[in-house]
Amino acid sequence: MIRTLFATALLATAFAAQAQVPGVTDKTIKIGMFGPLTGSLSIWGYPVLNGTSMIYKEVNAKGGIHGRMIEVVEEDDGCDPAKAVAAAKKLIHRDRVFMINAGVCSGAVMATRDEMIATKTPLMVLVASLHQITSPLSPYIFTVSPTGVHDGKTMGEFAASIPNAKTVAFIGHSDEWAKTKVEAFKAATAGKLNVVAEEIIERRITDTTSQILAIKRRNPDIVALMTYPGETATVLRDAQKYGLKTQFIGNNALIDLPALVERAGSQEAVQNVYVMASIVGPVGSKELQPFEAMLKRHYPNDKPKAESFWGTASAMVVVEALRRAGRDLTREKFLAALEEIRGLETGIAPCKIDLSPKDHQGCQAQTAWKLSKGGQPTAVGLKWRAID
Amino acid sequence: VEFLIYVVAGTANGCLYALMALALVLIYKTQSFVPFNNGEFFAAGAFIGLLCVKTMALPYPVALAAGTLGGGLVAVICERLTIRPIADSHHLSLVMATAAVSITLQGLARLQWGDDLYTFPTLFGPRSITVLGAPISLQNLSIIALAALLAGGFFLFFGFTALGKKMRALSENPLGAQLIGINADRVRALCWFLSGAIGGATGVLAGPITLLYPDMGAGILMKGFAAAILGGLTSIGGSILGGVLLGITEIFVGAYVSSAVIEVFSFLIIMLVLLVRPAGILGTRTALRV
Repeated sequence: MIRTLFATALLATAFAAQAQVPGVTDKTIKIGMFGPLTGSLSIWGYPVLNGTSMIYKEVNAKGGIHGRMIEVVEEDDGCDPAKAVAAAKKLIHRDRVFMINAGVCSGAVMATRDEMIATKTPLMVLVASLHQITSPLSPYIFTVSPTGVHDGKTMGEFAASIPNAKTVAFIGHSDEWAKTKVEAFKAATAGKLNVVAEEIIERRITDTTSQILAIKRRNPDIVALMTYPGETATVLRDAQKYGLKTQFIGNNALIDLPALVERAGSQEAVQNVYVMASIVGPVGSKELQPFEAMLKRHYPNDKPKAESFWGTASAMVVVEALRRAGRDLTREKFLAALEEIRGLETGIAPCKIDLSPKDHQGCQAQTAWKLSKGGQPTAVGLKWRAID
Repeated sequence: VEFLIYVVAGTANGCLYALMALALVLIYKTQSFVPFNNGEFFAAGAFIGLLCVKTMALPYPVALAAGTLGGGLVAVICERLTIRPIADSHHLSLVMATAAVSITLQGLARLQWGDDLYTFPTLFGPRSITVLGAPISLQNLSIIALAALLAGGFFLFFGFTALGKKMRALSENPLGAQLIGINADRVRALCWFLSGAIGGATGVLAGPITLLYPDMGAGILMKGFAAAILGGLTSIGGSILGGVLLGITEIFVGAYVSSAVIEVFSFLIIMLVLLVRPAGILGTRTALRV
């Protein structure tokens, strides 16, 4: 009798504890997501969110994690910090999600950082690259996508490997996102490349004549592009128009080279552009094939783009940590499981995922891609090599 | 050589600003407020033009005509549904109504085109001609030529047609115009149509040098506003002059001062003109509607 009562009390206590874990029921784990589903950067919204959600759908199709299905709640942040805070608050307080796997735009994600920390909500960043999101380290915030510092650094290292390159010009936005990359690029190429020009273009600019001609006057061996896709197309179009012939190194936001060709108006304008890539291979490559097939299975109307897979590895890491945390899931166990992930091979990130209590930036490797003469995005590698 | 490139590129940009300024001035002259939804007529024209050129494979002149007409129709619908019912309200209410329409139209456009940036095919590709050793983009020249044609057409319309004269009469003296039998509602609706048509045409002209997305009109609306302030909100000629001056000046500022200043330049112009010559270069002082 006493034994039965004791067992019942234990069960009741365990159930009560479980009931207190936000977003976790006997049958589901609720995960929140937000990204730019509206606005000019919505080009990254649904592709990134769907390419991430497909992992959760795949997990559900295979029976879930420890008997629980993953339920995803999506919100729009419009790439706007105020909207992102509102989205995060809704997910945390109204939807009561277990954790958040979100964030495409750096400014928007950065604005939610305090809310995540204050409410002890685990955040696995999708692709937002601002270094300050994960540094200084917070026990609740993780990323497995390269930060701006690493993007600028890998751009610089690649630029320095180009034979006979001695001078570089920067063209970038005036925000922190671009400045971080520029500073990291300069640090990586100090003593190797001489900076001859730094030109600013604002968002949504439609004419870059003065910037292109200013750069052309200095005749740099390399132009580093710290710009978003739309504005980059304008830069490349004007560069072609005014005969600026040089090598361009693009940041990892420019990964969709076919779209860049479409927007710039010709392949010729994009032919000398190298872009940094945080996924293992271009669309159509052997490495990406399983993930493209998965996207088609769960989102048959989505056309696979390189950026569709930006957040895929982050969801795989979340799933792995949920598995390791076990059936008696709590946020503390989940966070501890995340910090214990070492050498996780996702098949889509270009390096193994390593997290620890002292390092929440899980994979900081990138490789360069370039269009082949036939117009196919082709992996070049960490250092320059001729591909045609 | 660079000087000539800057002048042509600046003039091309300036022509677009001038047309947007003209669209704003038309409304200001007849209803004494600056509408915030003209950027959406610009976007409507661009997307209609894109539909014609890319989806329906129609020639560019047809796209220009369709974009012009489409922009005008969207403007008339907006006027009929949101402005006419509150036409006698305080001008701030009218301005806010146009801002609300702007946000609504952007939202509606996102339902259809929300997740991508669209490219309008260029008329001439990257081709250019060489003048005095300077490569001059054919696209820029075509914008200047078409904008000049449009502006010329509107000058003729206002100067020499009965309808144009009625519009001018209404703008000069609304009460007097109505006393001599001018139907104010009809003429104002026509003004909105023309304003929207100019916005739509500008959208098609700008299409090949920009990227298309639902809120693409916000930036050029601000430039058009700066151009109208510079030239004079009450002057059609002033709006054209202001646009071209703004386009040329900002490109030279970018080239010889700093490229970081280009985008704030239009705001500086607005502040400077309001401080030094509030009526603008060719504008005249008018009593404010209160």
